[in-house]
Amino acid sequence: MTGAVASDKELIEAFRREESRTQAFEAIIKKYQQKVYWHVRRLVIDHDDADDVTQNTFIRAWEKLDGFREESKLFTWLFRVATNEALAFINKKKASLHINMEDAEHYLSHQITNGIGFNGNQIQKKLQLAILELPEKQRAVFNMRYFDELPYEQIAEITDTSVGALKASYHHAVKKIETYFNHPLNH
Amino acid sequence: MDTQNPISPEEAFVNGLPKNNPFTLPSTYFEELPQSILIQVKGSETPQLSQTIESGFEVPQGYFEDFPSKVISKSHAANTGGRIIRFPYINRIAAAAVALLAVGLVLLLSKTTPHQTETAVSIEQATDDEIFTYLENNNVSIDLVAEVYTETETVKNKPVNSAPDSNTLIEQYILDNADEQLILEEL
Repeated sequence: MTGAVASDKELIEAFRREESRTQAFEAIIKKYQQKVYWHVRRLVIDHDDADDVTQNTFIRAWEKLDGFREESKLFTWLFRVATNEALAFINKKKASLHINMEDAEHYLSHQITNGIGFNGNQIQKKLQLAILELPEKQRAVFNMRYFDELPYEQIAEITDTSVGALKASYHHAVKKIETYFNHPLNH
Repeated sequence: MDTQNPISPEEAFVNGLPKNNPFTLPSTYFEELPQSILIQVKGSETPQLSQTIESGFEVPQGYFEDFPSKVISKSHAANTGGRIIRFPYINRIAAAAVALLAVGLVLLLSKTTPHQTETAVSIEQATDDEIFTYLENNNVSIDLVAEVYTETETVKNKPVNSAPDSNTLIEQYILDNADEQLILEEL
């Protein structure tokens, strides 16, 4: 595992050997930490929350990687774990703060509007606020398709949803975002 | 993106929005994240990340830390195992015959008649005929006894350390010829 980046198959095989487990897992983290983090960050917005969810994602991976059946790519599997962790985190946070969906979105949009961990221009800010208007799962689908440019088939594996349903969901998300941008109150 | 289906005006609008990342995070975050995760999955111990030696070869984690104790435990096992010294086959026969002969002679000389008790006081006074008669009565091969006796005498007469090594000779020469006063002064 020196030199060139090891393939997923090599990493998983090394992980299953006790003597190379930690080293292999370290390599897996380094290989996928940025993709996982940014996927989570776009969903939870706050850096500290994204850090918690990203760490939980890899801790789950450590616990369950032995049972990974390699029917999907390691990246797809990690994104699935990360998506579930992020959505669970959002629901848990809402429940613990006893706030409704609108308040939660207001809290997140406040962070973006006030530039907390955010340094985008006005259009980027508006786009993020528009995405926050979407239901969480639709937000996850939109982000994976729009920012990560994942094929529908891969998103279907990650979200355990049919390709048709995903296409419809993405189409609706796009329409909502376009409407948000053209709404006079959001100018 | 799906090139087979025509893009809706909404999708065309959204596709024209900036996709670059507007979020910020601490500059060293991704350098520190693997360590943070590994500490959690490995418990309280600080995991030792991959040890790559300059030559490019790798050793299992903790190898050098465990190495002395492994050597010590192996050497301890070897010491407690003891040594088994195997004698040549002919020597075993000889030893058995000598033991049998000794037991036989003791029995012969410990007959309870007064005359025999008197004889037993000095074993060398027993006549050869008496010994041969006893051995024949007890089915002991005279030839085997003779062979063992010859071998034993040969070993007895072999000079032990008949040629002292050169160091011993030099040491002896110095001791014989050195000025005692000089030696005492050196002390």
